[in-house]
Amino acid sequence: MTRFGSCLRPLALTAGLAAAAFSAGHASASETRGYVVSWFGVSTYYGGDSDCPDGLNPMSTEFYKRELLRLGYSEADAVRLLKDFPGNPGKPDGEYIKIMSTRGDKKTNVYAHPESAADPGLKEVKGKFAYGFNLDGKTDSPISFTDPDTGEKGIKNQYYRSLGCIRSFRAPPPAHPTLAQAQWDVLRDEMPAWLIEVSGITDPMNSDNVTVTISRAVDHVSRDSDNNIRADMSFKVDPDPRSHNVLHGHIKDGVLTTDPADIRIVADPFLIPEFHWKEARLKLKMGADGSLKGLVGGYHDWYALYWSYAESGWVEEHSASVDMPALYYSLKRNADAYPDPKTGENTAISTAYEIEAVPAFVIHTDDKNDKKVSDAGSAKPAVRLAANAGQ
Amino acid sequence: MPTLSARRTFGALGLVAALALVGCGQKDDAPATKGGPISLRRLTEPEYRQIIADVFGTTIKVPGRFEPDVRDNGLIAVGTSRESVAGTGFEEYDLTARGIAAQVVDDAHRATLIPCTPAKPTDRDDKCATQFIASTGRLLFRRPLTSDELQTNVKNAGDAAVKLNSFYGGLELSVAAMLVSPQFLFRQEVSEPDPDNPGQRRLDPYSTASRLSFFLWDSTPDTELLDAAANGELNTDKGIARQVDRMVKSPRLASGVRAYFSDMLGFDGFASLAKDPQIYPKFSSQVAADAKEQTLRTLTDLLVTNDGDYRDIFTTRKTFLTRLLGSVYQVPVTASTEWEPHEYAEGDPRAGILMEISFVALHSHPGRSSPTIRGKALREVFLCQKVPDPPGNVNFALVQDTKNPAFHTARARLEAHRTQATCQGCHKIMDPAGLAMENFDSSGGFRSTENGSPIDTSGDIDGVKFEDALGFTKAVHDNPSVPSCLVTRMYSFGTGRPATKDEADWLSYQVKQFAASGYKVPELMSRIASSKAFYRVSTPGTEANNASLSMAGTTTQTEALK
Repeated sequence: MTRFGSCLRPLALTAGLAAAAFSAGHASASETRGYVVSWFGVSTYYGGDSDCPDGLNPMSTEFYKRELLRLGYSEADAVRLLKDFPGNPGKPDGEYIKIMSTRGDKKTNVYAHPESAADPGLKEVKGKFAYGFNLDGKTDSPISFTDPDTGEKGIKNQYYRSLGCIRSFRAPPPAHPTLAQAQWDVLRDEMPAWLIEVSGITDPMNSDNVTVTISRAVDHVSRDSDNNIRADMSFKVDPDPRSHNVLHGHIKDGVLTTDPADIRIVADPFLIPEFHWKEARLKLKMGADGSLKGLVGGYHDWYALYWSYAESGWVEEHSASVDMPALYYSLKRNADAYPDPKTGENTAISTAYEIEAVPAFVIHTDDKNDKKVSDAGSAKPAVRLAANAGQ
Repeated sequence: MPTLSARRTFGALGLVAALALVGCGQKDDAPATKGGPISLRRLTEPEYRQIIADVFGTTIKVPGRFEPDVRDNGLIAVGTSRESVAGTGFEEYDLTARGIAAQVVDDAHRATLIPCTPAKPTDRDDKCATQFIASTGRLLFRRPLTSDELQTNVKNAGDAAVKLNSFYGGLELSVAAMLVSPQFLFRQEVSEPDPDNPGQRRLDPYSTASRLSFFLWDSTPDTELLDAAANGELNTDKGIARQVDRMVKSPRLASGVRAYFSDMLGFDGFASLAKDPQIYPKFSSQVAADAKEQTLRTLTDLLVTNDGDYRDIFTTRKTFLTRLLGSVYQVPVTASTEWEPHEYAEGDPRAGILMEISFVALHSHPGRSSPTIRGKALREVFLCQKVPDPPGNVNFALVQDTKNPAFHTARARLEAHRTQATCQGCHKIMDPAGLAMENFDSSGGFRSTENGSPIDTSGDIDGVKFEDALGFTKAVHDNPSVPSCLVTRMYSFGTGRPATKDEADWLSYQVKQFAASGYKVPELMSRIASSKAFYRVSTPGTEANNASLSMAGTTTQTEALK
């Protein structure tokens, strides 16, 4: 195959796969395409007022005042304490922060021990629609959503049910919700890149048997002049096994779907130290421009998700208006899988995240001395080139 | 296929042979010349920076901005002979000089850069100051300081030390003063009677040293070269040949080659190069910087490291990449931050420096490619052919309308544009070359279609037909104007002036020698630097001889040199 045949973009074969294919006598060769994740954020469908018929959750100034009044402060005191919102915990004007941080029993850190406070109640999504996956195969479950685009029933996304009526998780597309955008803006620069390789592609529109590898790079993404993730960059794969996932899937009508499997990938403490989904799957549309766009989802430990917000204490609470005890109780309530054998309480919650990726070269190397590792069957050393798609 | 080491060995042998012929007592068969006018050249920014690095070390930062240089006859090296320093420019030089001087005497550098310790750091020490100023001034002024210059600088440094209660504060002012002196900022050449050729003049030894050093090393003469000027070695052909031999064998020759090609290729244009980020998001200032460096690395690797054929710069598949460049070229680059050798794969439409970002992006509009600009650049930069500017009343609307549904490709738009009689002549010599590079957009990215229509890169240049971009590179490789243009331009680069008509035969001779050498650039530089013509200065009253051979090497000139 020549680099510039019918395709505008380079189309490189995986050396090892090509050799294997030829030695096996296959008539047609398959290709491997590489990508770097260019957007990742929790999927919170925006359908307007019908999502949250009970209304949206209050802003932090509102629920802080509510809590101050509940704790016995007068209206005047509450106004005075919140006068300098957002305040600073190291200064006298941050007094309300100290009060809020122990608002359960006035001595325990409420973010680390949310059950020290009573459940203030979180307004949750009651609409019909959500993006995600039918993780349990059931279509008649009372917690099921319907995919607003495809009409697929049985979608499980209880994480969205908890988050979807918090203002910072809502935005009419194509805008991204404020918190997800802010998190990604930091993550994409701070965190080594996430990589996706799709191998075994015989036809970009329809391939029955493809292998999808999700891994983390040792390199960071870089941005292009339009402030997007730069496409066609090269990335070395981090050999850390915590971030190496091999999934089986297929492509039908240009949509890549993977079979259920665990996905584990190291992230960044700013968002969450690592994701570990169970029964996870991908559904990604392979764009004509060589990009991928779709969802990754599965069951995830709900407390880890809670702690991803609560670890920053009052910071995320007041800036993103996430009432932490309320979120804690909501996630606990909406968790829908993997019950604890002792307590019977579910430990995991159905989730879905938006994910987008642009073409990239994915390079596998030895982690210790940077020496390239030969692919089996390849006469050439090392580089497994997952080249981008043709246009 | 000879190995790299073998190529180097053979290259070195060829160079030695050439030097033996030119400089070691044998007769130089080159036609005699009457020389040209001596020059007064303002230092370019790269020269300034290189001098500071060579004299004070690379840890000294050069702050501030520099006045833009002027290009004349295709070269900044020639344009600098026509430059002065404006008031605002002097302010910048002064700020820069003060910034450098402060670093030279600071705690981190004084022990290394100042060869003595004052008796009292809070007082003047004229003996120590003399030692420092004499040695440093010799390198900065490219000659020993005169007695007056030395005494004045030492006195000023001492007086300032007393007022400032700081020996080093005094030296700082002295260094700053030398850095804004015309003796430093301008390369002032001085001529003297040539004793071997009564009635003729030549450069004096220190001007010879400077011309040699800036030509071969892109910097101020080193101590050894200044010593050679002082002891009379540079008054003899043999002495010059010995220094040329030393300098050409030095790794610093690469700096001279880089400086020449940076100038010839117009790389100063990168300072203001920009692309529409919405159309070409991959292009950035860092990509531009890397693209420039890529081509310079390609050239030095081919021409210096491997002593290759100059014409192969148009066809070589070997280059160097960073990851950023890899994203534009759409090839993997393993090295995270370093440069990585790369060889364009068989079937890849890229080969040679004309297909690199540095050429196609530099000679394009911010939002679209331009076959005309690229074709013009090829003619002027590599073939030394002057293409006239367009008439003032040309309507460019058609060629600028890239979304015109009737003309999908640049070829179609230019064909329609060329129906205007006033445009035909020039476009005929520019467009075929430019259209051959249409597979590369304004940012250097590859494309096979424009507005959905396939791009046709076939054409002909100077009667040689080609089918595609690679065929075009081969046609340029074999174009006889290519080597003659290089010889002429490189000579102008070294002398800082256009070649004179009187020098045409000498240049023709050098073109033949260049071909006989296998088009080896280091050998060409060596021949030029070792020649009498390089140092010959025209005598007053011979203005007719000083008439330029041409502007930027016109078609007439290069034809004459074939």
